[in-house]
Amino acid sequence: MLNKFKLSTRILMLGVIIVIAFSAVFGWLYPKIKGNMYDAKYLKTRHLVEAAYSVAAHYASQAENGAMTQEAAQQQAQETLQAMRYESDDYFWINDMTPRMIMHPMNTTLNGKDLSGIKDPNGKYLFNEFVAVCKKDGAGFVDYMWPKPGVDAPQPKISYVKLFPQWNWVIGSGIYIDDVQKEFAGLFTVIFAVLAVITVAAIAVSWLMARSIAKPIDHIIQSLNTGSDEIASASSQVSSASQSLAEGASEQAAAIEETSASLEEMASMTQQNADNAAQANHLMKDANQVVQRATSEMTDLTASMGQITTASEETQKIVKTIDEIAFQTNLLALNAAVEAARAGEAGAGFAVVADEVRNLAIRAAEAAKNTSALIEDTAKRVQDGSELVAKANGAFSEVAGSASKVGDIVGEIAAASTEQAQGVEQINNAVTEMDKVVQQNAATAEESASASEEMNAQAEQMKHMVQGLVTLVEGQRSKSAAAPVKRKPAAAKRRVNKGAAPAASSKSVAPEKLIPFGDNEGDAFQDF
Amino acid sequence: MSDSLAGKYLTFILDNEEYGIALLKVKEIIGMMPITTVPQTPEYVKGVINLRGKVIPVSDLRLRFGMSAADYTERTCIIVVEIQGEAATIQIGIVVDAVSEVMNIKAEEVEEAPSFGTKVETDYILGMANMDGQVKILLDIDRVLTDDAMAKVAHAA
Repeated sequence: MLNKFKLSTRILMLGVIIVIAFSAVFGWLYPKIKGNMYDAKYLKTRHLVEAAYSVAAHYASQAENGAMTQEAAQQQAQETLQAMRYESDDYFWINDMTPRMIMHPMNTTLNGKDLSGIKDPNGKYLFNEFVAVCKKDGAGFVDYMWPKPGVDAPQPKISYVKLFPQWNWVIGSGIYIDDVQKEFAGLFTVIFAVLAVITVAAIAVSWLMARSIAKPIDHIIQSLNTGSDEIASASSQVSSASQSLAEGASEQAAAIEETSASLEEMASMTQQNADNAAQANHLMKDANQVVQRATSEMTDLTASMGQITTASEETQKIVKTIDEIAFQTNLLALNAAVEAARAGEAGAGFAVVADEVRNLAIRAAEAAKNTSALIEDTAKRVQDGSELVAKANGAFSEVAGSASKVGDIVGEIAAASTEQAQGVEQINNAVTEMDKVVQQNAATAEESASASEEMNAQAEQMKHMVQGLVTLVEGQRSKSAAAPVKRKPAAAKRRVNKGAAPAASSKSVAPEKLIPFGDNEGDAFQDF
Repeated sequence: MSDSLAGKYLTFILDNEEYGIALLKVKEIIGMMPITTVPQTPEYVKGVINLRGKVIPVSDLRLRFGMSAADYTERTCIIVVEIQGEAATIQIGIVVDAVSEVMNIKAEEVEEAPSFGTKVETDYILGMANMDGQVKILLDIDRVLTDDAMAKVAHAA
């Protein structure tokens, strides 16, 4: 039940309850004290009246003893009683059973008068009442209103009347209730004042106490809430981060697998490359040998062609000689023809001979020319052949050069392939290492994810506890912490709470802001 | 005129043209031999040669005819001709590109020389012989070589 109220309210209630208890006690005491006071007053009055009665009794006994006459005794008694005062103003009176006033010290006009008709402003026939009481019990209290000395209007009064049966006197004395009331009121004014002061002080102190307790608690609640919020968000961040880390790690592992496979391929390719390069080298060497053989054969060919050329040149010289001979022979023939012409008739036959010789010379020259042409042709062919051989040689040289270059390049390829294979090996090792690390990362990410889950659970627990604290401080709200929250009931509860604890209304604002269960964060908690 | 032009001619080549001179004028044909140059002679007078002890002046017919000089080949010949000088017959050699043959030219094959088209002055040309489609220019060698300078050189020799 207490859970309904805020802590500050409860502390305040403590003070208020104490004050109420005090008040209850005083309230209980009030009538008792009043009664006691009144009773004491009554008792005092009775005692006084009994004292006056004893005076009268003394005088009556005196009269009975014969020391004085009854009249004298009565007279003495009246005078004595008339003179008796107490409390400076209070007096005794005597009336008989008629009722008739026998002696009234104040209202002397009443002496000897019939009192049955006197009534107080309330309509009470007081003296009749006195007589009645005396008749009934012999003595008793009567309350009425009677003028008070020094005061114009009649005041409430209670008198004790005692019957003195020997003389049929009713002796009475009374106290003004207003005196008692004044006294009582004065006393209780003081009491009430003190009570009020105590109440105010108690309320104030308890309010201060409540505040001093609730405020720090509110601060703590605030901090705790903030802290647990931050923890929750941080743990959610950590969780998501480690989730993504785990995902990334698994992706990385997959990528590493792929890389590993690719590297395997690359390694095998490299090996193939190296093998091919070695083979190519081999082939190149063979080709080189072939080329060298071909070159040497070419050289032989060139040599023999050179020989042919030399022979041709020699032949050409000889043919040239023949040609010269033919020419000279021609000249000779012409000279012979000239001489024959000069000789005239005698040289006719000689002219014929000269002519024939000239023909022969021409034929020789012709033959020489043909031979020369043939030789030239041959020489040209040889030249062409030589050129072709030279070209072929050049081509072979180029081939040889290219082959050697290719051989060098292939050698480089082989060396590079070896290095590449080594490099691939190293990469493989590195990838294996990376794989290990990635595995570790994944495991660590898993661990951190679970740890953050734990942290989240703890944060949630902390929130629960904070909510318990809030419930303690704020009073119970119409919802449970873990259940989904509707805004309206919470708002209604807030309004109710605000109505219930007006003194701590300022209090109700701050904690309510802090308590999120009506707000987003309560729903956010549901995500976990 | 054409009657006297028939006979045997020695044909020779000069600058790819066939020329002919009367065979009776020709003394000897020899191949090219070293020529001793003589100073203060016209350009076409090459010099003199020693032919079996005899000193014979030589002139280059190409230069004589105003043709460009040519290098001497193995076919270049010197034709020694006998011409009538002032007093007696003199022998002069002429350098020709090549000697062809001795031809027997008939009268009907000879024609009058035209007055244009050749590089030779028409005084020197006896006529034109038409043999087998080829035209051979028949030279009057006397007129070609009769020259004050030449004669003087010949006399001096």
